[in-house]
Order: sequence, then C-alpha cells, then structure tokens
Amino acid sequence: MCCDRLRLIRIAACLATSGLWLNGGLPSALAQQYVPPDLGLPERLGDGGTRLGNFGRPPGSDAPAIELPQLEQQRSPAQPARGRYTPPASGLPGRREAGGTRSGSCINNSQPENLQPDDPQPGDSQNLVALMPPDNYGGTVTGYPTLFWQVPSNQAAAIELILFDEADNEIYRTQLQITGEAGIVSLTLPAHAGMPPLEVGELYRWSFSLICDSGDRSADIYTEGWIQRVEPAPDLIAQLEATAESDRPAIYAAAGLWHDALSAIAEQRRADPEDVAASARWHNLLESVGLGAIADAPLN
Amino acid sequence: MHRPSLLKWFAVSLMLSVGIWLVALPTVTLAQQYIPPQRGLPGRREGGGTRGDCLSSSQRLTALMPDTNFGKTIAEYPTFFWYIPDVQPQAAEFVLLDENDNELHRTRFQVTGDSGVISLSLPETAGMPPLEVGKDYHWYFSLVCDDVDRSGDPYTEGWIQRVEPDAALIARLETATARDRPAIYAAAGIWHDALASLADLRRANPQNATFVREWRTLLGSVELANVADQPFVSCCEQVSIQPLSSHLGTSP
Repeated sequence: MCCDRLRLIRIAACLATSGLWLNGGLPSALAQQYVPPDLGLPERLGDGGTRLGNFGRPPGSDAPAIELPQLEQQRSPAQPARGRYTPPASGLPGRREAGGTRSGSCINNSQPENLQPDDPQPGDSQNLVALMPPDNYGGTVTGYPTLFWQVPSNQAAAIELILFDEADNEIYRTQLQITGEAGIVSLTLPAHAGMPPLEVGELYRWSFSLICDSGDRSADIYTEGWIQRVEPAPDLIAQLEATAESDRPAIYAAAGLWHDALSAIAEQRRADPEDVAASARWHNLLESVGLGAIADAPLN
Repeated sequence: MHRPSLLKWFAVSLMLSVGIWLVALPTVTLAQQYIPPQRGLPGRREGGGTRGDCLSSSQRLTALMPDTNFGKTIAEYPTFFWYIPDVQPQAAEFVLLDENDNELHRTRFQVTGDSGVISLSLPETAGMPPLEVGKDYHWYFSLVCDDVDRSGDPYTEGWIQRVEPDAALIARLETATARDRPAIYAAAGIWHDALASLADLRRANPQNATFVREWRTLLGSVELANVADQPFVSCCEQVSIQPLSSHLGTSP
C-alpha cells in the first residue's frame, strides 16, 4: 500500500533534521518532547492577530523571497534533544489559538469574561486551538501531511482549511459541515487526488476557521500557522527502521517534525483507544508545547 | 452536453438482467463483474469539452461509476474515483450535497495536470458526520478551467447512498481475504467499495498483474473499458525516499 511507503518516507525524512539524538537512548517517558527547529527567522511580530485574508508574507521579510535556512544547518548540535521545549526567540506570525469570542460567536458555553480579544487563555478547552508549537511552525517529511485542531463544542456552519504557498496562492481549500461536538479533529491533504505534494523547503501558510456565519466571514473564529516539508537525511531511515513503531513519534518530535510526531501518535491512539502508553505519549508531546490543558480532549 | 438517453436506459436494464443472471451463478464471486442496483438517477458520468474550457473535443473527464450515475457504499466516509485527461486546469473541485441540496462538503485544490485516475475520500477525522444510511447524496466534481467563468468547466455529477450490509454480506466480507473483497462488493452492487478496495490492492501491489486485470474487468463491466488502463496519478510515484527534488509533483 502506498501508505506503507509513506510511512517509510516519514521514517526517512525524520532523520533529515535530527542526527543529534543519535548518541543517546531515548527513555520513553521523556521521549515525547518536541524540539523546535531554530529557523533563524525574523523576530516574531506580536500575537499575529491578523484576520483571514490580510496576511501575506511573514513580516520582516522584505526580501523578495523568504530565505529559509536549512534546518540541519541551523540546528545546534549541542541542543539537548530531550530537553523541555523552550519557546524560541524567533517564530512566525500566526495564531495558535483563536482570539476572543465576540458577539455572535458559535462556540457553546464560551466564557466571554475570561476571553479578551487577542488575549485568549492558553490552551483553553473552550477555544479553537491549533495543535502546534507556540511558534506556529511545524515541520513534516510527508508531501501530504496531517494537521490537528481542538474544536470546542460549537454551532458553526462549517469548518474550513485553506493552504497557501509562499507566493500566497491558494493551493488547497476544504470546507465541511461538522457535528459541532468538542474534540480533536484532523485533516490530511489528499494524496491520491492529483494534487501535487508539498514541495520540500517551501513554507506554506494555513488558516483554519470555524465559520460561524457563512454570510459574514468576519465572524469566523480562526487559527493560522505555517508548515514546511523538509528533506529526509539518509541516516535517519536506518534509525527509524531500527526503532519500534511505538517509539518513532519521539524521534519525529526530537527532530522538530511536529506534524509527523503528532500524526504518528494519533494513529496509534486511533488504532487502539485503550493504549495507555500512546495516550501518555500524546499527553507528553502536547505538554511540551504548552498544550497540556487540552491533551485529554477526545480524538476524532 | 451529455444526457442520459433512452438508449442508455436500455443499456442499464440490459446490464441489470445480465446482472441478475450472474448472481444466480455460483462462480460469481470469482468475477469482478459489478451488479448494479436497480435504479438510475439523472447525472453526468462524463464531462466533455465545451467552449472555452481546457479540454479538447476528444477528451473526457470521467467519473468511475456505473452509467446509472448511482453508486452504493457501506463506508461511512466513502471514496470516489475519476479519470482526468491530460489538461492544465487551474484546480479541481468536489462538492457533496445532501438530498435537500445542502452543501456538506466542498474541497478545491491545485492539480498536477497529469492524466490518470484520481480518488478522493470524505474526511473521516475532521468532525464531519458519517453519511447516513439510506439517504441519497449528490456530488459534483469539476475541473476549474476558468476561475472567472465557471460555466465552461468540464464536470461530472452523480449520486451515492450508504447502505447497511446485510448479515450474509458481512459474513462473506469477514471471512474473505483482502484480495477477494472487491469481487464480493461488486457482486453485491456496492460500487464504491468494490472500486476502492481494488484500488488499495493495486496501490499496495503495483506490479501485480492480477489486480490490473481485475480493475480492467470491473471497469469494463460498467462500460468504462476506455479508461481501464489509465494509471493512478499522484501518491506513490511522486514521493520517494530517494533524494527529493524540490520540483516533485509540479507540472512541467
């Protein structure tokens, strides 16, 4: 099956950015720490409280193109793979959690008094939250990655994911009516639909919205972030092949491959909802990026 | 425009009677013959070139489905297949509506422009409710040739219904191996799952001539032999663990 190959690719690519934790064994309890890649990008500008549509290239990059350093070059070999996640000094402007609810919000049981616009509670279980590191950047080795969000109980008309390339061209857009139940949802780019895979090295921006009123999109509750496919290094393949499947998410996490770490654990949890170890991995990984508060949300 | 004609209805009923005859044969599970359920709906299996679009007159966007324009599934989140001719559309778009014409799902994406067979599955983990058993759903799939004037877009449309498998079918599926399931679905008239399970086998075993032959037989049984030898596009061919070109998958 093609997915077997995809898995191998994931395995392969993982190694692309890592190579650093090769020296030590990975105690499984500590293993789910996400280590963010140091992108060396321009300083983060505020909280990224921009609305859908008025958000072009990352601020600070006036140059004609975003110059993305190679991840492996930027990565300090001294960086402890097992260390707690430390918010990087630099990041991309984005929006991991939706801003404060306004009148007309379609989130049920929201607590407006606790939610100020653009100053949401971190990891609020009653907010729309992208499962992302706080720098709004996630790496992947796959051409058709999976993205995750916590959706609160809601009465939204639909959800919408849009993906833009570096030139801000829309390359993918999907809208769905949803049940409105609270939980973790995910969307995977279609691998068999004739859509080209994400290109290695290109930085893609996504936005994900709860469409509260399809007649007034300014009422959307939304998050946005960045995703980049990175090239696998050959030695990572062997590394992952030698690793039990259950321990591979840790390798992805240590390599800064956020999306692959998260989807690998999600697959494990979906395959066996009673798998306590997989749940613990999920918990640890989310905690390492400050999202421990939503780690118990049910996984769709 | 290509509309269901009287001739087509004839063809359908002819296929039906042949189908019923086939069901009676004990060897039916060995064949990849699709036995269509006895109904047809107005739809559009092929989308041809019209003025101003991006297809030449001989090219046909083709939905891989029976020419009744109706397909059954037992899946909560089924998979749809099309053949895309060699064109350079701006994008492809899929829309799913319920029986009251409410839009449930719309997805639009850039395409490589390579010709071949593509598939789309309804998203299973995104909080979308599963298809309801017994309800008809209407879908459209189009190539966006001109973003400003969509009236010339080649498109296909059809209907899908999720059905509850009966006990006998469940039993047969449970005892069957993966390679026998497509024929079981086909004989039971479960079009989408017959095609999807066979596509899975082909993708997992690209060199297996048997699955290629069965694919040809299955499509031939719904008079789609003209696209039965088309390759699958995307996925495996375009992703490789060997050094990845940054131009992978883009159109030339």
